[in-house]
Amino acid sequence: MVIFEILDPTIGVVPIVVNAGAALFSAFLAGAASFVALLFKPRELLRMCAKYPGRLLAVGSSIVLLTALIWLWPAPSAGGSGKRSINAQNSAQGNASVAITVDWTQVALARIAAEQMGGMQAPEPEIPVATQSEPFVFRGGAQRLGSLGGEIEGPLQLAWSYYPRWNNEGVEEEDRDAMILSSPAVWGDRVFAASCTLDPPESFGAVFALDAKTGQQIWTIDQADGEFFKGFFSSPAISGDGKYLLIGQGLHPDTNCRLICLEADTGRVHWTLRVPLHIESSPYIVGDTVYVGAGAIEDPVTRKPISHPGFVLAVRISDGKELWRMDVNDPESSPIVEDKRLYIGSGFNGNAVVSLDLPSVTDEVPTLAWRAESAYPITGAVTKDGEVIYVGGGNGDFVYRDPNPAGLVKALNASDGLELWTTNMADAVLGAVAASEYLICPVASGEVIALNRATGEPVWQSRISDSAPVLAAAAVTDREVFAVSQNGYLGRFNLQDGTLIERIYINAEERPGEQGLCISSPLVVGGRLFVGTETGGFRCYVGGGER
Amino acid sequence: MRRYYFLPLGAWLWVLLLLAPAERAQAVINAGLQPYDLFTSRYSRALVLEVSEVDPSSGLLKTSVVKTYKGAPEQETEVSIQFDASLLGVLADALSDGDFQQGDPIVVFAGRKRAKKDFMLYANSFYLGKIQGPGNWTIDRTGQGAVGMSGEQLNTLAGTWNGSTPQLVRMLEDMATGIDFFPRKAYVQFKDDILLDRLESGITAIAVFDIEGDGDEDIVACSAAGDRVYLQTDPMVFIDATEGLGVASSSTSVALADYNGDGLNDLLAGTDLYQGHFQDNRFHFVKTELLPERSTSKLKTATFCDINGDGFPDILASFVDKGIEIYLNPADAEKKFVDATESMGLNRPETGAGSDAYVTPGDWNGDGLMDLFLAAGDGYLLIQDQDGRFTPKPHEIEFKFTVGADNETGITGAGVFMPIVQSEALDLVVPMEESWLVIANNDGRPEDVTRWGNEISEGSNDHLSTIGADLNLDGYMDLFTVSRAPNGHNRFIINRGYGSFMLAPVHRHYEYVFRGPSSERGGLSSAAGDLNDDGAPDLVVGNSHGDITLIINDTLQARSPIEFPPREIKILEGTHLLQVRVLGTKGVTNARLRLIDKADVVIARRDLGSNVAGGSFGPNRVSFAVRRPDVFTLEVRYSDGLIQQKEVDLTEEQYVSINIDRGEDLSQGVW
Repeated sequence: MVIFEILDPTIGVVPIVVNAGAALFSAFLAGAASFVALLFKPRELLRMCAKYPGRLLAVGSSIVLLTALIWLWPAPSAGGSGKRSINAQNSAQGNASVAITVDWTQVALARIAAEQMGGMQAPEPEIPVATQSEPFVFRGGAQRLGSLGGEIEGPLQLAWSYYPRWNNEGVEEEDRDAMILSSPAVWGDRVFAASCTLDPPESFGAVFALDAKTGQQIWTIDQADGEFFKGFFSSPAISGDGKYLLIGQGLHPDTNCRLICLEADTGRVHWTLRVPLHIESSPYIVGDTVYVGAGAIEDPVTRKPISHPGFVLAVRISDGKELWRMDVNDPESSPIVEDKRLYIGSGFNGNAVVSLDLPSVTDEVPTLAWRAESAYPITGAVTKDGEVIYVGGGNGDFVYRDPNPAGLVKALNASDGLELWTTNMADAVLGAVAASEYLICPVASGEVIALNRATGEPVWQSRISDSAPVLAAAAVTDREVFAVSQNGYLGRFNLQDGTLIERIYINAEERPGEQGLCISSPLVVGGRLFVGTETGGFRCYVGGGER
Repeated sequence: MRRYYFLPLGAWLWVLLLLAPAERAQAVINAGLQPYDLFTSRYSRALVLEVSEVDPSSGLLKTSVVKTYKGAPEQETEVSIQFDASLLGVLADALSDGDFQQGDPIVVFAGRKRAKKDFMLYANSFYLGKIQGPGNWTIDRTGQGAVGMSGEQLNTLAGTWNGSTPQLVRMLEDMATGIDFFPRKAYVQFKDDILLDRLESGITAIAVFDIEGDGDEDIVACSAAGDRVYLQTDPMVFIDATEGLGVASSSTSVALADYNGDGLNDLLAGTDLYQGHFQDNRFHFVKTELLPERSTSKLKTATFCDINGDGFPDILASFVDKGIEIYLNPADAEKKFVDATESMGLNRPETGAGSDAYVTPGDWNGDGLMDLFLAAGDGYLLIQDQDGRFTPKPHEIEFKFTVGADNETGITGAGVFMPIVQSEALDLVVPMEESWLVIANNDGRPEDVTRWGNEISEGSNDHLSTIGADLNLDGYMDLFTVSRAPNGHNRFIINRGYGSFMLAPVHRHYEYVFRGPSSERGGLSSAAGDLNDDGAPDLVVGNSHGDITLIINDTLQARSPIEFPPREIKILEGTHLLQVRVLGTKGVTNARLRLIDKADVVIARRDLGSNVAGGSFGPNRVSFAVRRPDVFTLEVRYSDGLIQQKEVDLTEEQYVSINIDRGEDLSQGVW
């Protein structure tokens, strides 16, 4: 195995060349062999030069280029044993460390293997490249569809799975106890996700980038400033120029967590911003600004915040400068920002959807545009489609079930917060509502329910795994719905009538999940489905499998 | 009311709700991180130390290694543990609480995944530290070591384990041999409520009992509007047969037994004693006058109970202003019961005479004679000696049976003797106004272990009475408590084993635990028994609205095998049921059933006639859920000492139902 250490992460383009070089190596070799052979036959060489001057020039140039690349390429580390062994240099602010692994040979081999497995029956999926003007935000956009287009043809089959890795005293180890709780992000050929490992008395997290086609790790990072990341519940977002990954840190009891900005190419820390609370909220990006909520920690007895009740903040991505923060009770929800207005759910002790008018001048703070009360906390992400805001809510949470479960889905007028309709649910709707042809709602009672967008009336309802709660948001394509049950099943439904098309187990079969923490929302991109699991690592499914 | 379950939120994982002050016993279970996880995947070593010496001034703790349960046994046999100077106060507090005493066990998980030198230590509370070198360890944090923004202590480990150290040692032993079971979820489900009947006044007592001996449990409900008897004529078809059976009473309690040994069940409804008759192919009751002169005092409860161990059901009664009275069975069908209250020493103030209180029977000290607990004053644990006299056992347990600002008495405290902390001896669970006390039987010495009971702290309000049954069929006896408030929440508390409890609906694994209104309409009475003959105990609840509700246990149906069962579910899927009906003309009422394995270890015990303190009554049939099916010896000890044994093979069938009889020739009579 060959390991290259990227000492200067700015040359992120090099691996692509190397990858292409690996693929073309045999061609180079054949040409070079012919050329060398000709060197020992001067007459023949002259004849060929006269007959095919272009070909020989090309071969010669290629050899020179390849030689130069090898000459200029940084030397492998002394301990190059296939394990991650270095930390990259500090970030621009001089406060970050990052460890990077790129094994392009493995990338190539894995891609070949993946193509051989998945490509026999399924068409090669196209991974779209997001444009610079469209950041990737939680669930792929304000509609929270969890799909960037394209259908999956044929039964699902596992293309690859990946377990996060961590740096164990200089040795990179696979962490099979790591859970992927949040939803992935995709940019170009890469898929980004984050993990959570419960290792008492703390939790640990890693953010990683993988080759979307092979699952091969491109980079991973689990610490900054020598401090291990806490477990991640927040989902990553990618800036519109594709340069930066933004993610919140920490689980619910955590304090002193960071909003983290990484360089998407390398995983290197661009900046971090520490807040006194935790950030389970998934960031929303508009231009050079990221918006996110910092949630409260409630007292178990009084249910009141034991410290700060929570706030929403805005940070400039390019330099990490905090632009403003505004108190909102328990904004664990993921916001949406459109037309200088922010929408976010207010959870415990909030029970509302809150809209803020954003300042047009830096250093000013937002003002409250409207506040729409709810019977239950709104902890899930806000969905927006056109001029309507959709939210789900309810009692209970991702771990604990209320003895008297209840939930709702609300539609609000985005301009003034007026309620258009409310549909009561049998249990909480904690995952984002996907606004497709219908509103697809994950319900903790174990159902996936499609609602009429205009009226909130149920159109269909289906189950994945009996009564196992459905807590994560569904991914909705033009034809189908993909949703995950807490106990580790991925259900695939017909969007029109909710017919269950197929159901597969996504945890490690030999190690079924004990905790019911399959709560990662799947993402469908160009014929691939990415989803995190409790025990099966991070997974990619493609079509073309067998029934 | 403390309602942890409303706690937030989105990503509440494991530790999330554990933000409690530095109390010892904290509710909430961290389903994501249990001792099993620490043992199997988070730490490379698990061992038990024993305290040999402690110096509070220097913070030095000297210990010896007792046993290594995981990881290679270390060279070190002695370990010195130095508390950080900042924790000397913590150590002093622990010492004053009785922790770290010489000879005390300490559980250690060492070799943490992310920091190999880190260890967790549990000595009735968590401590965190580092292994500096062989035999040289330091402690620099406690489980409450995390500090919140406002300086408050955040305990991130209480939900993992907050039981007692000896119980954790026991669990470690079980984990090392793979026989542990400490569920993190409530794997139990009941069907929709079935409203059997609605009477015009509150249902003060319920009996689930096979009255006419056809193999199906019937139901008796007591009410000021008149007692009703519902016979199960077809599977789950109940017919009101009150008049046909000749029952005409309005009672506050009910019990059934064959008091006269004629093979037919008799009925005690309040202070009315009915004798069972079979005439013209018809079973019916005839009221007798065999009780002593009816007291002018108001009856609280009366039940059949073999107090003196002669096999004949006596009557144990409690009166509102008199306390306990006992009427001994004369063992003669024609003679009256004999008031033995005075001769048994129960007319004395020191045994609670004059109290308005519920009385719970059970053989506390295992001598074969019935002992009593009277829920009055500071709590009377009354031990019966060989001469048949009751003497209060001294204790330091802080019972409190007065309710509300007016200190009302006699409206809580109807408890139950049942195996909780260990499988063989009877412990005691007593409800109080909004809580319970779990009293462990420590070789006869009552020990309050409530503080280690986790969500046993999650009481409702106006607790009246508690019954015990293995409602989730995992081998552990669970608790069901009715709240006498008209809209009170009845509480189903799951016993997780190892002295820990779980509030079932909060941790439900299936879609629901209860599905119906009855669980939130309070209760004055309850009884458990297998109504539909599927092997799982069902519940019947009577409330102040006059509702008689059947709550049918659906756990076995919900537990159908699944494709990829997690470990706990796999264990439950492999659990086999043994149901035993005890038959005989005497000694049945308080028969003791024990299931004994090949190593002569009692793996489970059930006692008939336990769930009677609140005035209700259960069947002569019990269920054993066995997680490791094997061939066992079932031992039935009738209350007169007769022992019947039977080998039962639970390896093949998932559900085995048997009858155990005394083996007597009924034609000769037994009187």
